[in-house]
Amino acid sequence: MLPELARLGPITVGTHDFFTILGLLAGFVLYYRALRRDRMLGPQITLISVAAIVGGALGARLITSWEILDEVNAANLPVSYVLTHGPRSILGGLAGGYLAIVLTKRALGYRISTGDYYAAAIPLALAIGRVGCFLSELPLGTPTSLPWGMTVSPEAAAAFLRCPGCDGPMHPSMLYEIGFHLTALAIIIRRGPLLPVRGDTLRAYLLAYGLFRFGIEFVRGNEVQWGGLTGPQLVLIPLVALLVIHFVRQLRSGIYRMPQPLPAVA
Amino acid sequence: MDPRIEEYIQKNRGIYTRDALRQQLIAAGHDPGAVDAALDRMGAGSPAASRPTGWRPRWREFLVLVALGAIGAFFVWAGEMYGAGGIAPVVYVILVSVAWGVAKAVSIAIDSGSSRGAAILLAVLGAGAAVMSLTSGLSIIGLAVAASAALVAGLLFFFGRRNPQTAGAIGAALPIVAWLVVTGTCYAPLVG
Repeated sequence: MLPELARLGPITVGTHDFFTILGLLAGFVLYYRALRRDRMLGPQITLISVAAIVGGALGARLITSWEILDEVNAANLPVSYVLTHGPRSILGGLAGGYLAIVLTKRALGYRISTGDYYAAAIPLALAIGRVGCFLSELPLGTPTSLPWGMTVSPEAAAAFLRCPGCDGPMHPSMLYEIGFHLTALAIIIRRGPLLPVRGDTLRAYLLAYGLFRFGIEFVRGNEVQWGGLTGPQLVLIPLVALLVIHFVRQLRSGIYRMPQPLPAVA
Repeated sequence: MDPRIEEYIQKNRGIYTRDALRQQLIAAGHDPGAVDAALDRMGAGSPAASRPTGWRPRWREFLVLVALGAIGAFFVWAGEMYGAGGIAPVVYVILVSVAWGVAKAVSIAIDSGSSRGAAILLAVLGAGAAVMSLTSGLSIIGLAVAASAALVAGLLFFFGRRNPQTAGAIGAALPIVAWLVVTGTCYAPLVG
């Protein structure tokens, strides 16, 4: 485990923080390049992008805050602790960012879908960010007897209040996720927009990630919250349902059958 | 130029991607070069891109930025021991106002042909902020300002005079984004 990447005088560079920022910057570069290619750059799109990051930061904290409320109360900490020091979830980050984009666009009267410009940036940012999780967070996953199960030292496990399965080989669930994001990134970069309608490539990626994440939660090692499901799985049910409803509506509307242009004059 | 190409793009660009429009037009027998030229000229589907994008800060955009950022700043800092949650939105609003002004000044400086001067000024400001942060205990905010200034300076060198509006917009966004990111990603979960 490597919770601290480096110490520069009084400054401690946290591994998780470093890879989070690195992921954001790398994602920003891809996002910027895509916008520039299509001549979409402008002050409005910059504001929308800033709103996405702010919304993402808030959503990441808010969506999982309920999970630790009991622990916070027991420790006599202020409720605001869950927002400042609670766990963060990328699912909340994605949902918060998405919501912030929608609201900001509405406020600015900006009607064009910009989702596809995030379609490659998000998997890249998440793949890099997950490296930070893998290096600094426990448990890695549920116990496993598979040959690629990974173990950690007792000292590393002792640093975490809750570390089930840390006394033996665990699923490297974060590596599974990195593999998913890198595969998605390769497909999106290689094939370009997967669907003809603006924004639907991003939604398709989010739907695929939602389903993948729901499955990977069974080997992730997160606490079961209700009905045998973990917190992220409970959050994913409505989010995935919304995406499924969107695609059903799109298919029923026939929007994927593009209008035919008039043929060229010979 | 076949007017039917532009007519088709104009009619469908709000819904369909650039690639999808291109494929449909080429499949209908249109010259790929003419299709690409039309897509480039029409900004590939962006009403924002098809009209002038001069640096025109509007109060509504400013308010959106201020409101979202102030709420974010409050939540990010709300649990700090020294009650920073109350003052964080105020600090943020001051910061965003300064960033907005800097971005506009930078944009004007580039327009008048002096991006190098603006970049050097920002680099000096960044270095000063870094020194202050190391000597006065304002490490996080100072470093965020320093990093932002350095990034903006680098971007200004990169963009030069080619795209002053974009450089100005990024100039406005980066200090705010860097500040939020640095203060919002502290690694302090409930661990022993």
